[in-house]
Amino acid sequence: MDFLRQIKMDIMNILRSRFILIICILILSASVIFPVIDYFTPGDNNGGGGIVRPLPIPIEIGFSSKVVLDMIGYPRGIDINQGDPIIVDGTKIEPDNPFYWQVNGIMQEKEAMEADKNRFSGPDVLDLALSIMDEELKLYVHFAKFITDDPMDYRIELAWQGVQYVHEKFLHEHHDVEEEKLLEAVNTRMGIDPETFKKKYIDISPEERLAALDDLDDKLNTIYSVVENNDFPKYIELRIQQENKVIEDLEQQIEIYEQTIIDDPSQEEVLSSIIEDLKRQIELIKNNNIPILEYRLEKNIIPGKDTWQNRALNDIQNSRSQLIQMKILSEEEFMKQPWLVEQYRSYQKYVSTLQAEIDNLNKTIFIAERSLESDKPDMKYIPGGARNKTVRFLEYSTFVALFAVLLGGWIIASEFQQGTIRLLLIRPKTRVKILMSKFLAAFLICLVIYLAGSILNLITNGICFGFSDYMYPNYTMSGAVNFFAYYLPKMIACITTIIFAFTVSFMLSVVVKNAAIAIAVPIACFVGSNILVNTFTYSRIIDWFVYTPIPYIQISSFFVPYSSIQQIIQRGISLSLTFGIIMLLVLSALCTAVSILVFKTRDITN
Amino acid sequence: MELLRIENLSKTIKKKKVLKGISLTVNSGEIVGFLGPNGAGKTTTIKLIMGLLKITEGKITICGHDVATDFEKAMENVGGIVENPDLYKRMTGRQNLEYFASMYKGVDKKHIDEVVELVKMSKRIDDRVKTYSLGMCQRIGIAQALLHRPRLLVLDEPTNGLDPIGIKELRDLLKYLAKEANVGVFISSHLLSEMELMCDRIYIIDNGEIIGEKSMNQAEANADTVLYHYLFITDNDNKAYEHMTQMQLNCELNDEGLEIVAKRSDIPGIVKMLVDKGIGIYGVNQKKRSLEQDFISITTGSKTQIS
Repeated sequence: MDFLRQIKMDIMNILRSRFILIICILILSASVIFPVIDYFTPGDNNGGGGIVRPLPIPIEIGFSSKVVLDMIGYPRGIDINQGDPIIVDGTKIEPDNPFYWQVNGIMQEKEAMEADKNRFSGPDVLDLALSIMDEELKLYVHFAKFITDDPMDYRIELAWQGVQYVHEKFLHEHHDVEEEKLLEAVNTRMGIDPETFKKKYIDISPEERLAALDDLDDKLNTIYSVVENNDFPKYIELRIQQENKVIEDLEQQIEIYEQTIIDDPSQEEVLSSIIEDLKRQIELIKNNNIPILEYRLEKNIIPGKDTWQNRALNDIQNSRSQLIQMKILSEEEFMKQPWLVEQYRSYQKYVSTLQAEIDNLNKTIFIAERSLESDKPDMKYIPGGARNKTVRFLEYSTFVALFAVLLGGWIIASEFQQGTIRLLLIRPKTRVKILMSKFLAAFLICLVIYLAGSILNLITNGICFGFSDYMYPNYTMSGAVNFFAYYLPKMIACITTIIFAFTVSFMLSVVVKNAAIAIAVPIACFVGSNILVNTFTYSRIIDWFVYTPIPYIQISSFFVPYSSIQQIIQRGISLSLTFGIIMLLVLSALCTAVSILVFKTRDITN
Repeated sequence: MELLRIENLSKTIKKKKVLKGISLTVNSGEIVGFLGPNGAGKTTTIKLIMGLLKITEGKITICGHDVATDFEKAMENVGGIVENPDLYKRMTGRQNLEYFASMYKGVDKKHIDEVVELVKMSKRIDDRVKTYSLGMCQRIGIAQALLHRPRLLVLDEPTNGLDPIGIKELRDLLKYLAKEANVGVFISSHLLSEMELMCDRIYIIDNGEIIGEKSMNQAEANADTVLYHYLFITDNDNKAYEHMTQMQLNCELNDEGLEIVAKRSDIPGIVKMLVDKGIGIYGVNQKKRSLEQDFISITTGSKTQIS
């Protein structure tokens, strides 16, 4: 009771320093000011670390790579609002139309061709080439009518496929033209080897041609109807058809290779690995691409839109494809790869690193699946949400730790420097009691600032970025966790940093009796440790460096993305949070013990 | 009653023996002076009493409690100032007193007011210590020493920075506390005249050793056997000097005037003789039988440099 009263008096004693009081208020207000500034910073309101727009999933056309390259004409990163509107066949295409550059490019190329007639073997070839381009134009303009502004619209990629059909149709319709001329004209727009060309478009019966044309018309009409009616289910159907086609193609390939092996067993070694690879691709499509498409249809998750569902699905897709490619080699195989040995130095290291990566990918998939299943997104899929902002603000603990250094370094040293120590130690209290009272008073101030600041930040984030985000759970491998249950232990863990910073500077304060030194040295060490961690992260020293307390000083970096610890973990080096916390606490206890011992036996000579 | 007892106290700081086995006592109701040149070990002794330094050898007891082993009990009975009264400058005088008061049992706000009244700081007590003069700090220093009604006061040069009125007030206060509240006072100072005016007993310390102890009351009691210095102010000092030397009095002419050394009872006879000889007397001043002289005569024997 007496001791509590003394702590209370010591707290008042500290806060009566206007300097300290003002800093306390400033640090506390930071927890409110930061989110408010964040909120009013233009352009990044749902970003907070930058949104990564999911790219539209590319379609495997597998027919002509030249077309694909040509078609990815949409320039990213260029201000799309440059240029004047184009009018084609009475349709006006604004510069912000996703097809603007496509149409623009074709028209320019047409002009260039007309100006450079000598490129072609004859004027009829030029006419043929121009008419192919006209067909292309028709398709793009039709698309442009319905997709006017959203560059991420899922229907856009249908155009690339449609162009392919347009080319094929053109070839069938002009089969009566001289073979060489047709080939020359077509080759300006797509790459096709003469053999395939002949086999597929020339040497076929009229019935076959009719059937092919019907089929192409059907396909084009389907595409047009999807574009015109924004028919998402039909789109998915198309995509699944494509994927199945790819599987078929791959299976044919495999058959061919298998036949080759039977014919010529000497090639087995090379081909069997290729076959394995192809099989893996089939597996990926069957177990990954198609189910995801079906899932999109079921949940009506339209690709291209910047929604958390899309981010989660992309996560699943990417992680699964990575997982399928990942294979832990046996020790024998590992030793045969010098670059692997160079990189990992030991087989155990290699296995543990890869296993960590696999676990990580599985975890990513798990979180994404759970989020989608329950329709409650994990924090990571809402980067601009209140949860993310709040977790990032765990770095506040470092900020408060710097204040703790200031307070811890100042509190005892100032007693010596002011001379008040002589009035303090002549009271009927043992030195240990007096020291501990000051220690606890100063630490309590730091702690209250940290806790109050964190809570204030939590509330302000809720106000600025929406409280509803807090209602969603986060996911761990053991299931869904309420956000507050997820956040609170992390917030408490970060107190370790404050304790460590405080006890170190407090000890210096007692030992050197000089506030400037007791404050400056820990801060310099802190900055130095940051530099050390950054320097050693990519060197071999990190192997034993993780057993020193230095990488753990900022416990918050365990929880905040892109931090120093995250980088070390990404390198597959295991850092244990528990180990870090225990080490810091043991050191803190040691510092406190030294403080007590020195203070207890010291002669007050000044 | 014996409040403070120091037995054979030694202190070594950085291999240097600063105190060499001193012993002294302070009883209740007694003001004891502690005199010595700079570096003699006064402040060291006081710091040892107050527990700021650790005892190398010997024993200090306050009201029967050993400072080394029973610190808290010992400190409940003692209040003091060590060196300058360095207060928390960021706080007001009252906040300082409240802070120190919180470390004792049963010191209420009313009592703090009383103590402030006693040191005459009521008007400035709510100003920040930053704005105080040294004398005002000294008054707050005395106030904080009295907060818990200690039975023993240990004051290290408390008159530092006080104006003459302040010094007199302090003297009266200490005398009052000694006589009325039976407080024992242990006071170090180099203002010797001050010591003379208030102390009952004086220890003289030099080079870490107590080299003398004098009881002032005893001096008063033996007044008639003691020789004092008198300064005669006459209309003709030279003639008076001649007459005095004829009477074989111990006298001299110096720049102050005519000074003789005599017992108090001799003075009326001398005055009568001078008047009879036709010398006009304007005044006879008794110079204090100065402690300073004793002090200087004792400490000039000090062979060593300030340590």
